[in-house]
Amino acid sequence: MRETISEINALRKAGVIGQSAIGGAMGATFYLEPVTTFDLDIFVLFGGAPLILTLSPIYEFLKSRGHAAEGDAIMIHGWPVQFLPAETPLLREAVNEALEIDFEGVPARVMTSEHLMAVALQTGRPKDFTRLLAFVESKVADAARLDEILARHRLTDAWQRFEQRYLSNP
Amino acid sequence: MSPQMRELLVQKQARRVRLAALPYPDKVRIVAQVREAALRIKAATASRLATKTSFSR
Repeated sequence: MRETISEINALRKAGVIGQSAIGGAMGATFYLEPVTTFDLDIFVLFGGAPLILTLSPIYEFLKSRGHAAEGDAIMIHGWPVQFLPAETPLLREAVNEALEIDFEGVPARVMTSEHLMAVALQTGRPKDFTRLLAFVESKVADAARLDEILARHRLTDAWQRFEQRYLSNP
Repeated sequence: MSPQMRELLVQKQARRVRLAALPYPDKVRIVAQVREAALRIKAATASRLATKTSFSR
């Protein structure tokens, strides 16, 4: 995945995208045990327009470097990468406040565990709740920081419902 | 729950903790291996299903 991250960094260097961060299952894998997934979710900020209507500049840039589109992703050095616009305030914050890491000599950015949890809660699919439970069980997140994020993005009620449904003792 | 089952669950949890503590590149390599295995299984299942379909015709 080192080469994949290098190509994503090249997109940023060329000005095609703004700041970006790894999210989804591969983001969660930074904090938890390895999670089965088929793609790498890259959440992207765009400098100019608040909401980009097409991801084609990304695809054109990567195609010119020999990477092929595959369904809704683009294959970069063996990894199907899905570029997702960080279009909600929570996602924008998650990208802006992502953790800077070193991936075998290549700089990368991964969403914080608290943001990954908040995003999972907001997305709300069964697999997101499964991931959220894994985060709760691992105790890797800072509870106070998570509370702040949930409150700021009006997710406190959703968190309470999640707690009642999955974490309260019968 | 039997003591044996309880012990198994404790061991499973300990394994998850050990895996979570691995360096990120190592965990990514595990994800890649699992992904490749899953794709091979999917391809094999698809070809078997195709064979079954051709038999049923």
